[in-house]
Amino acid sequence: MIAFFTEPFAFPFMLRALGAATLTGVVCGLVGVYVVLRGMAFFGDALAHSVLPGVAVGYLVGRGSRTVVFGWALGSAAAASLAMGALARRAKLKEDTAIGIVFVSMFALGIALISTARGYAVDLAHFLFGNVLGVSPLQLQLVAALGGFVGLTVLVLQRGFLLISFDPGLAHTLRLPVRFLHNLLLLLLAATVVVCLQSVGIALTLAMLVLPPSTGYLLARRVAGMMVVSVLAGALSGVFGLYLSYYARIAAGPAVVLVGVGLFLLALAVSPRRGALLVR
Amino acid sequence: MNGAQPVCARAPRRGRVEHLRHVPGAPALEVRELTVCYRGVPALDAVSLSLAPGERLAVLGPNGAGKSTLLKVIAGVLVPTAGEVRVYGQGPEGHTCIAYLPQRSGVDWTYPLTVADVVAMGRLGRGSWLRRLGAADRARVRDALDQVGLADLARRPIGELSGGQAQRMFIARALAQEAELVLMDEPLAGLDVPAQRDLLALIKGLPGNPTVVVALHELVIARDHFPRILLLRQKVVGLGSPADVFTPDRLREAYGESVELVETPQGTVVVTDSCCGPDPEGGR
Repeated sequence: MIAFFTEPFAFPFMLRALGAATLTGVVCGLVGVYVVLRGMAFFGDALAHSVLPGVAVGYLVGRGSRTVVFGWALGSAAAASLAMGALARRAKLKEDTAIGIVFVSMFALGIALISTARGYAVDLAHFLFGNVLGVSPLQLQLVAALGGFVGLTVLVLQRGFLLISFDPGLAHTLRLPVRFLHNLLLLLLAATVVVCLQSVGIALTLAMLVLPPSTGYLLARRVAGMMVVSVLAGALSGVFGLYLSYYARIAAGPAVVLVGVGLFLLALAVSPRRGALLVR
Repeated sequence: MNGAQPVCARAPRRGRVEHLRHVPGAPALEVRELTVCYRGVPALDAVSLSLAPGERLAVLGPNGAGKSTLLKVIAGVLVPTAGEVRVYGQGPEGHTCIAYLPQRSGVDWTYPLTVADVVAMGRLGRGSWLRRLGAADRARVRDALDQVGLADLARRPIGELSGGQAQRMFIARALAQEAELVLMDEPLAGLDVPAQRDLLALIKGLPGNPTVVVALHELVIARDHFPRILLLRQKVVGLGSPADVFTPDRLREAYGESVELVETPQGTVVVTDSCCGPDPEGGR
């Protein structure tokens, strides 16, 4: 029985994968709470796809060094998040239209850039669907540093983020730095997307941003409880996703997401107030 | 608070708390030649008014008259195109003693928050939004809930509140904020008559006697419950007591075709198209 749990992690690469997947779950669980509460799912998905040109440039410039990719991906996501806001304001487009335009522009640009390299299909697949089993020690350190920064910032500023999300008018009259907090939240989301890049990949980042917080939303009555459950659900998705991947011999990224889906469905079944199976 | 000097704390800058003192003897609210333009179209045009501390003003006008805009500029949320707002002698930007109560559609009721959580948000202004709330803050929140009669519902999720209870919760938040100028954007919209009556009684007898500005649609309620009326249609159509403001000419000027005046033996009955829906400039 014990061997069942310890066997997969006898390999160092599996231990690194465990670290990366758990970190991803925890960071996404925290930041995702605001994604779900504010209704930013589409924005989060667009942001995840917008890292691709950065990834491509980093990949072509760094020639194999996956660490260079990190900085470029972060820059790309940050630029995209600001571009979406600016386009919605300046061009007076609806917000989701502006997000969609930036989304497809960046994504197409990214694929075009990667297609200039030989053997691009394999590499593109890694970026799109993640490659958590291939995390190097240095990459894990980068993910940990970035994730730690995001997590700490959210914990320190959580009341401010909640206030500007729930009632911006109150945040203004209490003289909080509303615009600063708003832009910071977008940048934290961009950093989170980069944390997800290696573990679940671009295509499934949205899953980690919405599944754990939704599980938290179903089970908790208050925001603090929602955050705790969300972080737990994210971490459990990471850990048990790797077991599922190891024993069922399926790709690690989708396995992590599928565990997240399972936890969400479980929460839906037992949720005290919103449960589908216990409808009063 | 009892007998204390009215002091508004400013958000701390570089760790230092600056206090924005109220200028003694200054009006609670002074608005001079206030103009706000949206894309070149005036939403407010040279509006001026002054309120003494503790006065209650009802702001009336058709949809799009600029009621919400006026409240937001007074709160310091919107920056005016021209003119100025003074609250206790200072610009509104530095004050944390102004409470702006949103329209019901202005917040998302699906948030996992309890009534006490929302009221406690009122305590986050004095440079304390980075910290956990202390015992004194929690006591102030309990008092505020008591004062509006929501003590029993403190742990209830906000999504389960009735319209009247939701307004009481926001008033409790203003009390927890120790607001001295309370701005309410159509608090009576969507309430049934008993709930309206209870809320009006609460607004009249607010603890601490703050200055109150309420945007309303209901002319008769404004006449019966507010000593001062501002009739607005971008410009000031009328400002003064109900008797001064509610004249047939002024009402027609404010409401145009959407008002009907019916002469009856008991006096003039005013029928307006008081349909709701947020003002065009009300959304954000």
